[in-house]
Amino acid sequence: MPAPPRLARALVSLLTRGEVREVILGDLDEEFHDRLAAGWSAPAARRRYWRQAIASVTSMGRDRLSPEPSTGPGDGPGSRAARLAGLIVQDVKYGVRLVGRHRAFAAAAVVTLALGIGANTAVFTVAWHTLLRPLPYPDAHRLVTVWEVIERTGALNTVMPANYRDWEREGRSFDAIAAFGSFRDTADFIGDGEPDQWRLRYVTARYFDVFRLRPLIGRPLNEADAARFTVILSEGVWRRHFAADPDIAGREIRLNDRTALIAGVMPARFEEAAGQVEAWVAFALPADVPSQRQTAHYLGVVARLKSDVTVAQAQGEVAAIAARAAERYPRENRGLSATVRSVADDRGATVRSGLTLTALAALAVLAIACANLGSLQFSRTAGRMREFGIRTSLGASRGRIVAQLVTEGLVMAAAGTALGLALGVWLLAVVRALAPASVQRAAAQGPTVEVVLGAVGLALASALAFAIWPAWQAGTRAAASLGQRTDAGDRRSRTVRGTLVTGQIALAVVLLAAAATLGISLRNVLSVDPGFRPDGLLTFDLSLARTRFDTYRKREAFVEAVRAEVSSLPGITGVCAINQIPFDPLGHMTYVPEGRDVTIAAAPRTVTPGCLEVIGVRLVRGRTIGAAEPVRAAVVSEAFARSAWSTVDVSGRRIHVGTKNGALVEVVGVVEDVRQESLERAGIPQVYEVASERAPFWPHRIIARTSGPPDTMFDALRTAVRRVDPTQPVANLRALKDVMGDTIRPRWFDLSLVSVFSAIALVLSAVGLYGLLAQIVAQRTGEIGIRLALGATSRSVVRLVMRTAWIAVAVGGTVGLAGAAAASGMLRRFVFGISPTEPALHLGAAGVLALVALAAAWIPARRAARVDPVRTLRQT
Amino acid sequence: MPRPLRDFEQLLLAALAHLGPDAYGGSIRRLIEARTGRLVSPGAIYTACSRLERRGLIGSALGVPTPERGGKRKRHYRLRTAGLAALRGARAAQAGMLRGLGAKLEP
Repeated sequence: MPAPPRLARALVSLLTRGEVREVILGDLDEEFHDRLAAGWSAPAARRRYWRQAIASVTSMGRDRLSPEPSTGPGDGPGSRAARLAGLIVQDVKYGVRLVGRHRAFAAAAVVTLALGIGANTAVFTVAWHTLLRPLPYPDAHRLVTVWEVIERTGALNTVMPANYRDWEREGRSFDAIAAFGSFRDTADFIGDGEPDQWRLRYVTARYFDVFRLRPLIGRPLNEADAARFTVILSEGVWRRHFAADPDIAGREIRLNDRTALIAGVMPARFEEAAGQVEAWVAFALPADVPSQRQTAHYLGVVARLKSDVTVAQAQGEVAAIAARAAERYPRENRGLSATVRSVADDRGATVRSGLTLTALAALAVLAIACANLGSLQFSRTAGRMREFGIRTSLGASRGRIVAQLVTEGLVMAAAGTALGLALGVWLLAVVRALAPASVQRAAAQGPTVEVVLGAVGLALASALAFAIWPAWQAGTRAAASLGQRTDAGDRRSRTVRGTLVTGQIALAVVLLAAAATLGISLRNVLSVDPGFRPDGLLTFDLSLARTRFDTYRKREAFVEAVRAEVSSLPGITGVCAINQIPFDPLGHMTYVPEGRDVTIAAAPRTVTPGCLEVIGVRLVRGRTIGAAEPVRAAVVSEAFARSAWSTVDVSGRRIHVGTKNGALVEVVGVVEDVRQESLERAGIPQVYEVASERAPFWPHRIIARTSGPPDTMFDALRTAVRRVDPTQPVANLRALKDVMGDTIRPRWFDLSLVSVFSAIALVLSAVGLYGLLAQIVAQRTGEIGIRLALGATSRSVVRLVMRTAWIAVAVGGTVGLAGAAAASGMLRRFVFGISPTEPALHLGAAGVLALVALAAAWIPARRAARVDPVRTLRQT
Repeated sequence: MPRPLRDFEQLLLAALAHLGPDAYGGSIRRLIEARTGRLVSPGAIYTACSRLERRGLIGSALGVPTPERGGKRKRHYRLRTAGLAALRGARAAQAGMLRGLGAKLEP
């Protein structure tokens, strides 16, 4: 059910009170629902609501302006606030008339303000949703995650069950603590429609207690649930597959060919910090056997601190517990500490620095816009000095003149805010197309009341500040000069404007330099060789239900059938299966080269024969994996070979899987390293083992090479899999290029916003300089006419005017270069392949700005040179 | 001498006469919109009705909260005898002015 527009309601509430508010809002809401019931679209009904709300407020205001003599008792409708609203309506009308008389000026001011407000609306909407908005859990500041810490590197590690048990048993800092499987798992759900693949999260019984959020429907999990397959559904699947059935709790469904009991449904907002999944599965940790501490680290741990415990205290406690464990179980726990992190502080960690950068850029745009606004006001008040002077000498108070200018400022602020909000919403749509997933979700939610109020506040503050200041000055001078236009006044106005323009130029140089740095960095990232050929590759997941595919043979036969069917499609040049694809890392495994005392962490890849060729990984030494390997055989990446044996010559070498007692695998070849997580970092080395019954992982992700664009094959591919088995879901079907693209989305996002902002900054500063020179030329037309009449050449006149421009550009550019150097520290996190203080970039940015600014200055300078001396002399 | 009824006030009084005990902001708006095609805002209805009430032409009372309006109360209006008389007077004035214009006013 769509809701009435919140902002319109807030507007009505603000201007009415008591019974009036209640009756009017009730009528408005009722009308809104009437319209919806009559078949109106939600946006149309909302527009009507706005119209009616504004009409209501203004008609009540008008009523207060022309009250009729009361014939009865009572105060009539409205309140003091409504009376005030009436007065404001009157002033605003006056302001609109005044602004309307100077359209060009008003349009310039409104557009300028709107650009600044729009940029900030978009950025702060995203920041609000990802970083600032309170988490949707009670006492969210007490939520923490608990981690193992690898002492040597300080890296956070997922947790082994025995350590979790220690914290659960001995930890006094926590009200509740729970664990979940940090691995990814999926399940096939075959409902009425297309088979669907659900992401599962295995959680211990108290998981939901930690977040203190009740299920929407049904009950949370309890200790007994792990004994059978019990799930809690997400609100999303509950709506999608079960039509939001209110009686779902207690029902059974088929999931992965097993019967699952539905305990309840969690509300959608739960997933915000807990991670997006379709269902939570009750899960119990393996039995605790102190003599056999498992060494698999696969748990994520969440906890709720007791109300009087700080994060630092909890950190101390888990570190102490970890230290005791390291003493007692040196083999498993040596070198492992533990720590606690605040969930609220960690939120949005991946996008925080990018958002900070873009927010600063947006504020810089607003500052530049304000400078233009102030500059415009100065020139206009300067142009109206005669009017003010006359009015002052006729008895108008300074307050009256200031009030008039402030009213104009307010009208412009209102128009600028409205246009700016619209611009911000449009920018958000652009952001959604470019941004990383978490930012996309935030952008899709649109501006909230808080953001809108913030934008309105910013607009009011900037418009008022830059209306009052020149207005105050004008008032003072008008009183002093009694209508005489003074050169001193003009000069002062020009000095202030000159300073503003110089400041704009400086800020624009900083923004341009930042955009250039981000742009070059992105180009450098894009030119990194990923170690394989991603173009033309597509990939999808086959989740193989363990119950149906309970033996290796069955799984192998099924994957082979899919492989054969897909490879028979025209346009497919190669197909294979792998356990994990590049740029979608899952974790690592340790290997020990035979006869050596080093442990190497590597990405374990299990592949079907021919996979290295399909992916396009280049062979460095030895041979690739064949179809019939007599023993467990693997190809390792170059980095692995070098850290294992300091050479790529691997003939006859073998590696242990896991520890030095692990099974042996023969290394038959060496391939080039493939980038794991992102193009920017080399990541860990890789070990490709041929799929077999003994291989640690099962290849369930299909990779196919297409001769045309991969996305044109998607439908044919789904059909092919359905021919093999109509109940088999095809999940995560994507072009590998897109998977790779996800890793550079944050860069695209930062770059596109900062570039848009710096382009706005460039235009605004050019306009600012143009405006300043136009004012100078207009004010000095007489003087220029005299100079020309006395024999000055037009070139010397152009030089005269351009001198101001040169000074502004030179001073602003220098300050901007210094600012760019100072701001380069902020960019350190974002640069790739270049230095953030690269002089060529900064000078280039300053050069571009100088060119544009001087080109803008040239227009008024030329106009000055074409002044007709005879006409101006007559007018003077 | 009270001032004559405004156009909108005549519509309101007529609406009240039609609606009887059901007259409140929402029903008045619906009726005026259905019969004249004019879009009127809740605020306009509220202020005009308050004005008519001060002139003694109509009476009003605050209703009880109902769930369909999110628990918000309505203000119910009823036509008083003076209001009906004013409406009659307005109609008489209009009829007096329009008499004899039959052919010109045909659409």
